[in-house]
Amino acid sequence: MNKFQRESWITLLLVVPIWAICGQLPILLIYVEGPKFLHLFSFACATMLGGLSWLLILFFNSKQKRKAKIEFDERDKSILIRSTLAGYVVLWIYFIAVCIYVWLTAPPDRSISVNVMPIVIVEGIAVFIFIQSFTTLIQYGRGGGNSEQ
Amino acid sequence: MNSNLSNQIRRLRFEHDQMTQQELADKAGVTRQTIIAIESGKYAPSLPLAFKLAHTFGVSIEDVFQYDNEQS
Repeated sequence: MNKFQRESWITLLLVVPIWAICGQLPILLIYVEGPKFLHLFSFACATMLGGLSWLLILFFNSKQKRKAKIEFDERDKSILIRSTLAGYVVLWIYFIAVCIYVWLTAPPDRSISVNVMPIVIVEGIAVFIFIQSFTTLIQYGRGGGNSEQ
Repeated sequence: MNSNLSNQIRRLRFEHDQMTQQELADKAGVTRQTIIAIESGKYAPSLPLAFKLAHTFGVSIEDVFQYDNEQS
């Protein structure tokens, strides 16, 4: 397992859940109970914690015993480009789906809560990193980055 | 999987003092995982990498990679 596979596993198993939970809980609290200082403060703290979960990757990488001479080559680059593209495409589909959902479920006065936007953005980031990591692992599993179509 | 692209990397490694995959990877400037993927036919390398592998073994590129037109 190389560095990028390991990073993808850590992202998939730890970073995405931490980010989704830390980012979502305070927003849902605000959504349910309305914006209070404590909720906004907890949102800021939780978002910071969620953001700092990326440090887990650095922590696990520092535990690696032997550093390989080459850790990134053309195949890794190809896999990274494809998985980022997949994440980007799914992110747009997600945004379009959310917009349609919000439009269809909006009340008769066509107004929606301001809390919807942060939830959509936080979830969008979680969706992006989940899809990117997932497609990275799929490609490594299948040999990955095949240049011949 | 490239069913019409085959390679002789495994044979060439053993003919070169049983060169390990890691040694070949270091000489070609790629990771060991990439050598494994190429050897098993799961990854088709770029032309520069194919040349680099051929130069590492001191043979021509056709001696390392073979393309079967009939399967395509």
